[in-house]
Amino acid sequence: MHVTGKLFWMPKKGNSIEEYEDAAYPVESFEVDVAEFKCAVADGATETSFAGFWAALLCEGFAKGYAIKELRQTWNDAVRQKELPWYAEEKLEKGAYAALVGLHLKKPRGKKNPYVVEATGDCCILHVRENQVLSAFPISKSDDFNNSPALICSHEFASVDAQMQKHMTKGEWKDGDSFFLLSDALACWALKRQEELQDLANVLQNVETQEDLNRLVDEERQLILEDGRPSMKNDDVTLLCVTVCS
Amino acid sequence: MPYTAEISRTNPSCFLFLIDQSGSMQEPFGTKDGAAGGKTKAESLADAINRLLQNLVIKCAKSDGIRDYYHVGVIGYGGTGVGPAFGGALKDKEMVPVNEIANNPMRVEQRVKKVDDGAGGLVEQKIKFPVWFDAKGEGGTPMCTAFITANKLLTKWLAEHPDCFPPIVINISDGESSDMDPYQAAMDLMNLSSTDGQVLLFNLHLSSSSEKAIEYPNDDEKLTEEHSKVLFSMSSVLPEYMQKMLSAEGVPVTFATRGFVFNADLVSVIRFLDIGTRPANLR
Repeated sequence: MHVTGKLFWMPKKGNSIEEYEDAAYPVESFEVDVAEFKCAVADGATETSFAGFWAALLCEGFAKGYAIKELRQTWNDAVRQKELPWYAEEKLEKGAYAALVGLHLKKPRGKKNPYVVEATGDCCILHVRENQVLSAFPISKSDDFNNSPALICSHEFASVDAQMQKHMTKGEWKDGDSFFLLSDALACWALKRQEELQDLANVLQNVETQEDLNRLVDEERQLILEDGRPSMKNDDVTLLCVTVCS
Repeated sequence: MPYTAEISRTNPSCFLFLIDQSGSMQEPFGTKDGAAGGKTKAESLADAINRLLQNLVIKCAKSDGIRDYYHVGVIGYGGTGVGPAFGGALKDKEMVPVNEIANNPMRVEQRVKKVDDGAGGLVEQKIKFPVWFDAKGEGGTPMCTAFITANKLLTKWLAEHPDCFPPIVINISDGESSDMDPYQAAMDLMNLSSTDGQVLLFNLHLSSSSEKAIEYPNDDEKLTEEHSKVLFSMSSVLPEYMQKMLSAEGVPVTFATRGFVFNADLVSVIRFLDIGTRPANLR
């Protein structure tokens, strides 16, 4: 299969590039010919420490098939290498949290081109065909976003793992289909846009450069709705557009 | 819509704690189950505030250090007057960014807490317990002067941060004001505002008895003492985001619910402080 991917991202307004805590894998735009393909987007929880690093590990881990136990070990080993002040140590004890959505385009079986999606938390994937949004997963309505999604923790806590809900779905792709992997603020805005104007596929497909994303996000962050909130929440934004052909 | 401003390093918010340090705070906490471990009200409250400051610091800690989302003040009022209650390097400071709090505890104590051993039992675990202010209790309860002091501090703060998420003031006392009727001073404080809404004033009355606490009432019907009715009347109605947090914890709330607890035990104090300082819109 021939897979092309365009990756664009930007940090929260007011934050530096170094403070961006979403992640994606592959880590830059790409074009590959492969038998099967995996990619992911993750969103590190702002209120946790070393969350961007954890999000990046989860994305790479999904794409390369690493076990969660290995990823947790890597995170813990890395963040404990230097001496930290008391508050940073305490924060580490609480672990980092992140949401993840991963797409696996599997090897074709006869005429079938299967795909599987795994998701924990509120990063989303949209499946688009011929300018129509076929599905949104794991959240399909903008009202269903809230501030406390179940996330993946860098520590093995039985209580957290019990709440960690991994959602899975599967389907089939056709030549020219696109998948858009989005972190939560962009996903929430996107679903609302689709609900109100049904033109989301067009809007996303028109994002062809980083500047296009910057423009779109800046405009939507500045647009204040009737309830006083911005059209798009000020948060890190990540958009991975994947297009596949056999 | 009020109480929706983003809390960030460029637009921080603030918490101001007004702490009763009168003589009656040296009395034991009136808990039914002895949860305060025989400590005085002043000691238990100092522990609760120190723990709260610790949690705030940890909340604002990131891999690259502390982010100053909040400035915090702790004002004590008692027999020695009304003034900043921090000790150590922060002594006499009125409002302090979280970063300074993080790096300047008076001391870091080693304490022991019991944790689940995973096999149905409890094991003792040593924990670090930073201390910023010590228990104190003597003389009267100049609550009215404390509100006037808070007003001056927040007037200055709001001039410097006109668009901030409104400051939250938490007043914790076990008795009546001994200087003047605090009602008007409290009203004046609650009338201060940023572009995002009025200052929120929550009152917590500490228990001297084992009677059940009256938490987050909608009206003053169940309050029997005149003093408790006054405290209720000068407590802010909870903003919507706090109503939702309390509701999620199973506390019945309405649009009239106020940030007020009467006859609070230690558990109630800790929950009150947690709810009152949980971020609404932290970036």
